[in-house]
Amino acid sequence: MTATPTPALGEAERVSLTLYREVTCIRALAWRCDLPAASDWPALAAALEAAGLVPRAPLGSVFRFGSPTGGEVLLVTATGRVQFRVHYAVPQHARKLAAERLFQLLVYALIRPGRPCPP
Amino acid sequence: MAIEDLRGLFAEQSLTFLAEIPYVYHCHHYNLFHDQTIDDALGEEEGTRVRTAAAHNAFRELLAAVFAKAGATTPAERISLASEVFAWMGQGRMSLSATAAGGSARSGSLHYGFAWREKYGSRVKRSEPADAVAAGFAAAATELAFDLPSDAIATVEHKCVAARDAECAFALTPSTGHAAKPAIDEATVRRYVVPPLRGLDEDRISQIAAGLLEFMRGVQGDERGLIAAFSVFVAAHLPGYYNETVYETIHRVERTMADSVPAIEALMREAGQVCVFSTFGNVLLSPEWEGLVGPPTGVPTDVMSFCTAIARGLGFGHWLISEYEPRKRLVLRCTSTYEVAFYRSRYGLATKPRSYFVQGAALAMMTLAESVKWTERPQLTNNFYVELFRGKPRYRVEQTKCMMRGDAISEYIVDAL
Repeated sequence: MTATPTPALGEAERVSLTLYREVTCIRALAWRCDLPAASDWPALAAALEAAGLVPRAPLGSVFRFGSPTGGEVLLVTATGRVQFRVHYAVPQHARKLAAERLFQLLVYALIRPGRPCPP
Repeated sequence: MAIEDLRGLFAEQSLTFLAEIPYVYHCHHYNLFHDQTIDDALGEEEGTRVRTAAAHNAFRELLAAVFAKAGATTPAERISLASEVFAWMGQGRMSLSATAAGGSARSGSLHYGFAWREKYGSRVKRSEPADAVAAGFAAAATELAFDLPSDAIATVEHKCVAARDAECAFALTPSTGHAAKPAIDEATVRRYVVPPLRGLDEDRISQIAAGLLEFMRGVQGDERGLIAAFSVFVAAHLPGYYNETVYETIHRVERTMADSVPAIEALMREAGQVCVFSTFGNVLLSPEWEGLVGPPTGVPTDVMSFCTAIARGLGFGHWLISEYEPRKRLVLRCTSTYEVAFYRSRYGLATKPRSYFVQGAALAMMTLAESVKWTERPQLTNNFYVELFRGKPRYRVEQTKCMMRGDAISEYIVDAL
């Protein structure tokens, strides 16, 4: 049995993604997962834009996207780090859920590029 | 005229200006600690008075310059522009309703109150308001909108988000005015710098600092007038505020409670430590830093260079590494800081080294370079801060030269104990 290709990762390989909290000074506002540094970042960026995220000016090797809810997704292409930022106005008890929603957008962009993420 | 068009950069000294008035970036950890230090030294009531007065004076300088540059002449124009400037700085979005006889102001999102609630709100109950800076701003904006003299308006914050009110509220009332002191502007600052020197790793530090300065040029308050960046709340702030609060406080303590001077100076140094640990540390761990520079390597010489570059990038002045021997010795020098021009203009020559902020920062840079495992994604928690800085001291710092005292340069030596 062969693994299903994940288009934005550019290879037929099983990749396990885990969402976890970055330790930050504003509680539960920044979350993280790590992708292979060799991912097809332009393809992933295009897929995230197609999924409804708004591209912002890149910063060096970092792709940046804003979400309609004020969140942010950053792709650090040099290292594979992906950071999900929840808007500080989201109440603390709802921040994990907001981060999971951003993570879900990323996962759908990876496995179903060009197709909307279910609500 | 767009607010960002009022920015200026004295590039060779890493000093930044808005309408020719100096400004720098600091994070909420530093800002809250700084204010607490003033209150610890003077007591809450007098501390609040000193902080409000300092903000009042500092914002009068800034807003007068902004109004002149922007050609804002009517009260409505000036109040609107003042509110936009305040929000652009990341200080919060304030609604100001005032006449020449006073009025009121309110906000649900002020840098100090909002950040205090985020940091401490679930653990600490606070009854006194936290927004002396916004109070001083509101008084200054009202005075200048109606061409009133300095201190013609007094402000009291009577509701505060930090004290669990739904929003912050301020009352503005008439007071006795007096002539304002001359502004500390770019021309004044330029009189108190010396030609920049090259330090160790200069080319790399200059390049990173330039990148960070450029990045910071794109940073501004959001729809609530706040800036969440590098995992902290950041605000553009006025050195006039920090300097007046620090030096008025220390001079007063020297006059009235001389025995307490060492303790207060230590607290002021610790504010510099807090800045480096929280702001510099979070910058180093941020995705933005990874994009600009790369992930932290953990090599002490790298950390030292990066911290120096961050100081320059935030507009703290031309810091340079004169000597560095890992785990043994650091000699940090500055050809400019955001403190010198204020002190020399307001008080003349200092009788002893007075740059408490950089003293603490230098000590913290040594600690961050030597004792933090950067490649293991350290957690910059309060517990870690306590572990690093409040246990057995590993280093001591001495400021051996001070431009405020009339020395040709400022120099800070950190030695291992």
